[in-house]
Amino acid sequence: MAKVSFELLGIGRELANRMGTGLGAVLLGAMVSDKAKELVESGADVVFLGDDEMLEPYVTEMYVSAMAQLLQEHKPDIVLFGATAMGRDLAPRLAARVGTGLTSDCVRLEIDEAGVLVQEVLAFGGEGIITITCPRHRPQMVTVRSGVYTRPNPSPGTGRTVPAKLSLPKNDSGVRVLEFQPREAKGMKLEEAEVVVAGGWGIGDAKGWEQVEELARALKAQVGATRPALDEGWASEEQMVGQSGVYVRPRLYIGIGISGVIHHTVGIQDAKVIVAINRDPDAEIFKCADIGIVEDYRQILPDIIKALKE
Amino acid sequence: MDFSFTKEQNLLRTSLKDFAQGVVAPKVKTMEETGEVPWDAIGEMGKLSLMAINIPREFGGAGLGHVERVIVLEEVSKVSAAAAFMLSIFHLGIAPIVEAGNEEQKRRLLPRMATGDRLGTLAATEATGGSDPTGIKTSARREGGVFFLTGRKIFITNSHVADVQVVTARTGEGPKGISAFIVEKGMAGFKPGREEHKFGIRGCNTGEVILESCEVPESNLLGKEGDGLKVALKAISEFGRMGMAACAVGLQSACLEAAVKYCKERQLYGKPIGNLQGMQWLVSEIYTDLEASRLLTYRAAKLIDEKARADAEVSVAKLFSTEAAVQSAKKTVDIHGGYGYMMEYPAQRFFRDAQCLIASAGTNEIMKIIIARTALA
Amino acid sequence: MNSLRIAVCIKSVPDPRYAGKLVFDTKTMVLKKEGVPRVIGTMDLSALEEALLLRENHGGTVTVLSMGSPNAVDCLHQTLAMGADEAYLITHPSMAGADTIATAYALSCALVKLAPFHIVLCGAYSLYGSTGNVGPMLAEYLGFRQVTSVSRIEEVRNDILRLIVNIEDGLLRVEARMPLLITVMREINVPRGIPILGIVAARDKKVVTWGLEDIGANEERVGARGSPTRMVNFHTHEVKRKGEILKGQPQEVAKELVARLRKLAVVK
Repeated sequence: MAKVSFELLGIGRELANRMGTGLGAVLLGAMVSDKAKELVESGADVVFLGDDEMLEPYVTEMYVSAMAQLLQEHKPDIVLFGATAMGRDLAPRLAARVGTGLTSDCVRLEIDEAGVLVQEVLAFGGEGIITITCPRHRPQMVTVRSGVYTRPNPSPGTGRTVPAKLSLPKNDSGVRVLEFQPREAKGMKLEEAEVVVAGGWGIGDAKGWEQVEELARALKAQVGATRPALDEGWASEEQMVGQSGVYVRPRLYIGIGISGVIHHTVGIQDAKVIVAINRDPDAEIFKCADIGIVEDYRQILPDIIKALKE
Repeated sequence: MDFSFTKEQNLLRTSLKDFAQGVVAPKVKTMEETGEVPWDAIGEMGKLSLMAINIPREFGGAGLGHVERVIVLEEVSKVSAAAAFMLSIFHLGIAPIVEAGNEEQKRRLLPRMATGDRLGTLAATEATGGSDPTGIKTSARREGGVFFLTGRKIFITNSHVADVQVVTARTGEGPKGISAFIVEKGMAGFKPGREEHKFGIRGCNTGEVILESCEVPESNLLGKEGDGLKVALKAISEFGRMGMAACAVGLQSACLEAAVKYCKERQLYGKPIGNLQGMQWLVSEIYTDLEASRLLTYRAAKLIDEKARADAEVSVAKLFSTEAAVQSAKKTVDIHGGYGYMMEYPAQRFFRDAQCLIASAGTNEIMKIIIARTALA
Repeated sequence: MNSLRIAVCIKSVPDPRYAGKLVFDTKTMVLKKEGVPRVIGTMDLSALEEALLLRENHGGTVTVLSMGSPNAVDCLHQTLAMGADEAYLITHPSMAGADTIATAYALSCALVKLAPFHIVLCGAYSLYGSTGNVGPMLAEYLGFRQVTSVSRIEEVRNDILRLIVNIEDGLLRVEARMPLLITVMREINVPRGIPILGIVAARDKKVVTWGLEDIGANEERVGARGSPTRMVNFHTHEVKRKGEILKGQPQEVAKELVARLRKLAVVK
């Protein structure tokens, strides 16, 4: 199950407590009942279990139908979705089906005095944060990216599993999954890295990128990247840190040759210590770093690596 | 007088801005460091039909005018004067064929030049005459249905990359003894010679063209025998000079942007240096010269489009804009202080690039002669 | 199979290069975008490019639609210059302040008026506002099947498409039957530029402006009135870090950095 689901149980618990209501988790799939325990251990008071072979693999119409029925029956105030490919496929269609609103990629959630869910999203191009509410329609639905919230430590819970009585549509095989090619897991996932060294446009060329990787090795770090580095072919999609990539929360983040636009920096804001190295003294990234070095990375990286070895 | 651009011209500018930022900008570093021609960018120019602006629609062109051409060159020059210069000369090589070519020549050559599949240039200048185009010594001896061309052309932009070159050569004595020929890659006795190393406009190829009894079929004579000077000068006046003016306008724009950026970011005495009057004067001079250059250049382009006699106006635009580019580039370097001399900052590139515009498409001294001729007529 | 009728939904957004000029009016709760030129969202461009490629390979027509303010017309003009056959701007004062539900509703009305379509393409997400919700919402209102996060269209045969979907764990190969709504990822293609010949050809095409009645929409369901969600506040992103710049020769700075990181216990 996706890490983000557990993270959402964490924030879900807070929101439910604030509202004085219960926290449920929806588990859909085939032969998945044994996974309910994990959800309970992360704080779910009740797990609505839809266990049916029609729910494997994920097909939009099956899941939208199942969810719509559950929403109709249990009428939750709030529904949280992970902003994953599946979440982006399911949540909006579901919102349109049941007639409510949806706010995607929330970076912050809380309940206000009126008991309404306050939803904060990133505003356009570095301007800041927009606050949104869904005042009258229910449920209030949001999607949240992995890494925005932390997964709670598992603890034994008293939550129960409730089998869902679902009446699923016949599969007209209008959409069929033919095969699945898993991505090669390149070691640890970036989201879980303790130390991240990231490079951006300022690296300049593939040779320079090798220096970034060398520093990462010296620090036993994972290598991250910004969009320009991706476009140049120095890094791959899963290394992209930022709003449309991965949210990291390492104890140390070093950004090299990165300008620091908000779409990237929002992905690093939870790092314990942020170091920025950039030749441009006016790079935005210095404003959100703990320590900054205004220098051509080529002039200083070798010295840093040397100092680390001492 | 309406100084505004049409919706179509604005869309053209949007297209070129995106092209310049997305395709040309990433190539600048390599062009500067290696001096190599950016073939990828040339390919993309072809896809957008940038060579085809002024080619008539029936031959695969866009059938647009000189105002549109200035927009294209201005936007490219903002990012790279070298790339704009190169593109300008592609146009210069196409223009005589459009103007003086017969149906067969136009039908055979223009469509592929419109797509950028075949690139062009105009080869007139020789060691014995540039400013004096009648000083050329390249000869064209007729034998049967073939002309044999012998001579050397120098300082030819796109000498090594052009597939189709319009070459001037002597078929007789005096100014009326010069003819224009379409020489194509693959013709026996035609080859590029030495490559020049310029201190600016790098990544744009300049060099020698060598003709050694180059066999040019009769069907490649452009216009009639003796038309050569007229054909070449018309192209140089309308396309060469306007091209240099447009490049100068774009370059000045880049200067202003760099100067303003530095004035806002560089802090001295606790404040941005843009607060200092000395810097303000420099910036306002750059700004004023840019405004004037822009107006002169677009006005001259409009006159050509209206088929008015515009020798003086074109020369004024070229003279003023290129001189202003050199001065504004120097001011931009000065504004940057010590940093202006460092290769990391773009100011030095503007400084080096601007000077090349002065002597191209006719030196500015020649421009003054043309202007005086009108003034004193 | 008959030639494809393809629709593309785009959004015109303020040019990111001028982001600094955006001003949020806290009284009217509106993000003022005057003076900021508008461009087509990056993933929308990929959606348009994919539509043009489908037409090149299979024949058919490409219709572009956008719901927005009147100044979105320039972006639609651009799509015509890039090769779209027709472009429609859905605009009306009542449509202002629309969230993704209200936007999807208005677009669905227009698409129904212009029906039938075999394929509708949208961007998978945008970095401004909607983040890709409009696609699936639109599919729901149209009653179309949907496949989202598509990174490649492998094949179109009769009324079946074979697609590659890019999810976190890997790639899915999916078959889907038309009529189909697809949301595309940025990596699906490299959008073409605006060719000059296209600009000239666009003289023979026109951006059609449609209002509330033209699309037969219910006024209650468009704009702010039809939006379940609404913007209630805006503030700048605050980051509370010291931002201390280390100064000196590279060797010394490097030593100082490592010393500090060791002291903070983030490095061994």
